[in-house]
Amino acid sequence: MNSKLYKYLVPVMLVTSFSGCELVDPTEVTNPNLTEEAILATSNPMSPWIRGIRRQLALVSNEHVVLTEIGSDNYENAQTFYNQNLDGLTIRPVDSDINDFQYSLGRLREMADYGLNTINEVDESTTPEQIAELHFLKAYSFLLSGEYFSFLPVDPGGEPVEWPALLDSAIENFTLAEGSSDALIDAAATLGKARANYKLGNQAEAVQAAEAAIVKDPDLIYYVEFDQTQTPVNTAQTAMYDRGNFDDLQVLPRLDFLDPKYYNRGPSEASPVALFKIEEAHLIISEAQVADSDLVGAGNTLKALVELVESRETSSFDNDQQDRTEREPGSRPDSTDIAVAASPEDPLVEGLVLYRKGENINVPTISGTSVDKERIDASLGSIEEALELIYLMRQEIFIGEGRRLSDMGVRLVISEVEYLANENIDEDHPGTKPVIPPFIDAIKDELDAFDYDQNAKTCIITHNINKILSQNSSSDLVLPFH
Amino acid sequence: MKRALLSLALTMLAVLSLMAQSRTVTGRVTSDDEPEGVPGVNVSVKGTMVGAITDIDGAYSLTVPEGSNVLVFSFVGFLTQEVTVNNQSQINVVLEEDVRLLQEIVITGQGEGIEKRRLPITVDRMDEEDIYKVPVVQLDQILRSNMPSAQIRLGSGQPGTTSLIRSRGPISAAVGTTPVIYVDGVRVDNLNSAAELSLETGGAQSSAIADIPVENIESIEYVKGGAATTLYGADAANGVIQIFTKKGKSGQSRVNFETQLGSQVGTRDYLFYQETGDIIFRPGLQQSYRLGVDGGNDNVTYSFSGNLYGDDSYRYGVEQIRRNFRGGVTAKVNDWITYSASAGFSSNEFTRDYNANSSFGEFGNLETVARWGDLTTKTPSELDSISTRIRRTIGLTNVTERVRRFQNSHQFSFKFSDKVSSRAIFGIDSRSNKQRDITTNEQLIQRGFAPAGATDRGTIDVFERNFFTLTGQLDFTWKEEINSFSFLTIAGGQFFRNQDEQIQINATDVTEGSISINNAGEKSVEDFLSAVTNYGFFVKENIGFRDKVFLEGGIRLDGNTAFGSDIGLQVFPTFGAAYNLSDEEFFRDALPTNTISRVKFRANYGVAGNFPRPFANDRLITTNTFLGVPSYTFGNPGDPTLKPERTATTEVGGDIGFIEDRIRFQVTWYQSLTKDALFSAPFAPSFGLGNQLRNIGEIENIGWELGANFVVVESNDWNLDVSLSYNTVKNVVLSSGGAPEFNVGGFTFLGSFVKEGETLGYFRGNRPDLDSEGNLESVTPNASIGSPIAPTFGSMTVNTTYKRFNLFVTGDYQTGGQTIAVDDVLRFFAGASTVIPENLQSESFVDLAALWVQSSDYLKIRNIALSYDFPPAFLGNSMKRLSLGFNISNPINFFKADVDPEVSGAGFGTQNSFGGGGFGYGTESMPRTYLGTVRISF
Repeated sequence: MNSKLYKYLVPVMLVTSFSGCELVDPTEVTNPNLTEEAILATSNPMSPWIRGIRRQLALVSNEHVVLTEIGSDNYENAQTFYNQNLDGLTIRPVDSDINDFQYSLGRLREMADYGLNTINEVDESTTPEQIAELHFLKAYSFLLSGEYFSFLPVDPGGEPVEWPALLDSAIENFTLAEGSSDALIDAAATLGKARANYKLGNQAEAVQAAEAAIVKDPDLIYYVEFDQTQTPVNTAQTAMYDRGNFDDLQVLPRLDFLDPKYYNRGPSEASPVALFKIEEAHLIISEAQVADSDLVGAGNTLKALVELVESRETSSFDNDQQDRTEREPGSRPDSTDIAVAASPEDPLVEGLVLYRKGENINVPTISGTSVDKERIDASLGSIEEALELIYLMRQEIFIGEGRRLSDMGVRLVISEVEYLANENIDEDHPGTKPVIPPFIDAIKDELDAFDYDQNAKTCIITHNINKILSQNSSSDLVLPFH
Repeated sequence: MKRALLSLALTMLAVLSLMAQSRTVTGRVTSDDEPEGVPGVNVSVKGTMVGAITDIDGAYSLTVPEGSNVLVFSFVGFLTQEVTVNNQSQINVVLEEDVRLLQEIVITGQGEGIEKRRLPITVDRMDEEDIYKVPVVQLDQILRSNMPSAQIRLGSGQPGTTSLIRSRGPISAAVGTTPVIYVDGVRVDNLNSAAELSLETGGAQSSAIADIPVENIESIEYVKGGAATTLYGADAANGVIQIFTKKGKSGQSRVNFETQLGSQVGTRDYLFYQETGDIIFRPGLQQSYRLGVDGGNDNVTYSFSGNLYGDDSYRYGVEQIRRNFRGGVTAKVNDWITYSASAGFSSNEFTRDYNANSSFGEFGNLETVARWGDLTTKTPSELDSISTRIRRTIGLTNVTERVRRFQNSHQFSFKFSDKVSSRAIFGIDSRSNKQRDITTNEQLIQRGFAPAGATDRGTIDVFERNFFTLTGQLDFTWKEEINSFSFLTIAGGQFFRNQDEQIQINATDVTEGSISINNAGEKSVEDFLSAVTNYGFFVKENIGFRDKVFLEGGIRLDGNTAFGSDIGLQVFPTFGAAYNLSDEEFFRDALPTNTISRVKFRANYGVAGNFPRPFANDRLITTNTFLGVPSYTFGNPGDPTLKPERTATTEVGGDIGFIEDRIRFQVTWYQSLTKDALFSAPFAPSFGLGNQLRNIGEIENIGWELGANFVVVESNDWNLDVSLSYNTVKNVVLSSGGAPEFNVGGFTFLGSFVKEGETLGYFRGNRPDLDSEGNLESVTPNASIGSPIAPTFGSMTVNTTYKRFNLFVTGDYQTGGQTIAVDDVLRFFAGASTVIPENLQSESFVDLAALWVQSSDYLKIRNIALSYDFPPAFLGNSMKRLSLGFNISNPINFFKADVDPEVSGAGFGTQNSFGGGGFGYGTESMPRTYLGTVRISF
């Protein structure tokens, strides 16, 4: 073959060789991740889906607990990268932590709905217990939404729904979860109904559900679990126990003996967070009794509660790294011989502060309280006193569980991202405005304030929020039975 | 008789002439710059196929056949000369430089090289001499200060870590600004940010740019994005860097040996406490040995270079070793097929320390007061004690990375005729890197992160990434001239496939002393796979009229597996025009070259793209292991209409030269508009869905690029060249399609965000409004408080030669942008802020965010290199060249902020994301390096 022919042949060969690309098939790319279609075609997608929602519950807890604990008087954010706005109750739609909280709640609800609608349809092996758990988790999304927001959409991009309706939806879904053969879900759903009715001020329904819950499980405790090795770890544990160079969440001195509720349990175990525990039923019943002026009955209920609390486990661990505080060591009470007063008008009380630099500390990791039966007897002189006591116990028992800020009557806002990306909401919607009771708003910069005299070993907290709550029990924003 | 004598003489002459025609002609080709001889000059006998190439000494020899009498001497960059042979047997030629440097050939990546004068765009180019004038360790360092309209900022002083490389403005919120990089026509890994998975060691992240072998480079071209890169396809909107390696020159073999020895010293200019430098820094040895061999004959040429490099850095706990080699060969298969190939290998080992956003970063811990308090108040013995503890901690730190990389390129060139040629290119880049972080109980106890006696806290984290890319290209070039018209037609196709596999293993409860994850109590593993194939077809036509006016048009069609299922081939068009006014006779007649030597106008429009992250179009369910078993959740929401973002760039400019090009200016105005910009904006939280890449944005960049070059002195003994550049960019996000803003770097309280009406990656944070006494009156939440994109930047080089001495100085600057003094935020936590006034010390740092935004203006001298070439008389016969050099890197820095405005501890983004940088955070700057160099050629 002469070279001229070659010259003509080569370009033709080169061009035609392009079709040979098929042999190596360069366009064959396989997504290593699983498409929705592929997942729905698997044999039993419901089980891993429910585990995914439980994992989402852990993510909800991580968004909810630290944010609202900082907002309450329980914890002060002494220069950390956790939310800084809430400490002074600066509640803005632009706050990304508030947005993340909403997102986690929306996702929990949507995941539950997807399980109930889409997966339930394709997975014939779905059990009634699984359906009940989906309703239960969906109900919890509505419950937290109704406790912490004035309005939130209940559908993707939907119109905002006011909080009583959110709580009604919670009750509706808790009811659907009741009767599950999973006794824990059954009892927790009943307690969930009590909690939603309590917040709504439905005293009779709340008490009825609380009593039913006690009957179902007198030791009820429903935990959200975390995964220490694979994540999500418990953010509250990180915030309250672990120390980086500037992670320094500080507890109100009169609650020092309860901190930290979460601690390092080793490389493969995270401290769980309680979402529902039967202590709440007793607290609801006692508050209803006070509302009915049955102070003696309330006293008895609270004494039973103290016994329950005392029966709960405590944990002993090393807390040497806690400096109270790192920025100014020794600027906060850090020893057992320091007496703390809940306010300048309250007595100095010893035994509320732990010494952390010596032996292991012993901390209640489910429920703890400084209140004993004598204190209960001494606090039944008036409704106001009794309510202050109940709210002190609520505060102590629920510390670290993200409940206090709601008890203080504070409601967060619809986030900027929601109203920008949701055509059903505009910037002026009432849901974008925070709710802070005026008696809290007036002292919002001093919620965590105290006067500590290092020499006299006394610490006087500026405001006794429990007293302020009981004094304002007639407000629509707090103490729902009053 | 007279007549007879005349006849005899004529006959003799004719005989002599005839004898001369068959004579061998020899000679030497020299130039003013290379009086010892110019190698590689093409010497041909006009009208024949006879030719030769000059050897290393510029010598040639050829036989002039009968009937021919003219030799043609041609070489790139010089005027072609024709010399009549007559009866000469020795013809020496002195080549004259072509003052019309616009005729410089550039390889725009598609088809054969093209004369710059034909192009309606600008291409920045560095040749070998520029590249190796300063010590060469990694590519971004080479480019820094040397590319007049590109900006390169190195993210940290830790070896092998990320940088910001950009020309013009950032055109995408979905990818970084790093250009696509080709080595000999083959794409290479250009990941210049954290990988999808990677170890959390703070801020410094391993970069694939940092370990591209920099051996044996002949030239580097930087084609700015947009209009010029249309034909590079669906991801070339950020521009293209092309590296061409040496393939050798025919002639006697040359052996080059270079050794560099010197010292690295920590840069203290930016330190808050000089004590930090005393504790962390220590001078380190830097050494480099490079051996190169090249040579060949008319049919085969070869070139090889190998380099061993090591440094102990400038501080405790950080060092690197690099072993690189690259070889290239060109062979004439026959008179119309040429094969050339290059292969490079690098093996790098880096030892790094934690920095930036890590409480293990001891540099940051010192500078931010966070852990050790105010160092100025410490007694010498306290400082000694801190120093001992920190050095011991760093000694226990064990963060290492090993990178192995192999690249090769094969090119067949076919010259079918003088008019038609073709190239077939294929090659690969295979890069594997492994990072490992061993944290022992001892280390944690030493750091105070575990109680004394702890035995169950030890961890080993391992990250491996294997990247493989395959490129194949076939193109045809057809050159035709018809009357006053010249046509250059290029058509072809290209495909590439990227495969990126990552795996991360976290082992906990590791038995003390183990370096293997086998000895762990618990292990968790995560992997990541990304694969994408892009295929495109292109055609380009460059039409010249009277060799002065050029019109160009082209189109590329691209398909890509990352496009949504509803998206077919994408069309990227380009067209432009260039007019070389100074080549017009009327112009030349009116203005001789010693007045205005050159005037060229050019205008171009082109569309280039960035394709979406692979698989971003799919709707996914994500599996997570939760409490030991798999769990499902919503994954990527998916978008079947996902397509590439498209950046349309219009550029208009001109080049003008005065006094035989001793003064040259280059001016370009550009406007680029990215439509369908890929935004990862959030959905409303009520959807409960993660972010989805969507084609909803619009980004605009407008700017000027001004370059100037002055030949201040030009004489036999002394030459002085000064180059300056000044670039502007005005960047704005025109539209976010109504979506809320989203974070692309930094922190929640003070981060880098993308929002309609703002600069891409603008700084967002609360702005305190102060009363007349400086007390906090109110707070503007989420205010726009700055931008990491400096709207003005440029570079300067001074190159002066006196006899055999050469001094080369480079520097660059930026103005108008901002950086965040994150270090001081942490000092604020410790009550030691120097930025926040005393009366605001009790306010929340969130509300003070804007006060930490500072000017990122800087002027930095990057290199001062002095070298001396020994004269040939000194060297004798055995040595061809001996030069000595001395170089100082990073000697002088002018800046305004409390941190180095160049480094960034956060904000470099991760894989497939935009990062603007600008967060000065516990990060060491590039060290000052003092180096001596000896270069020998045999």
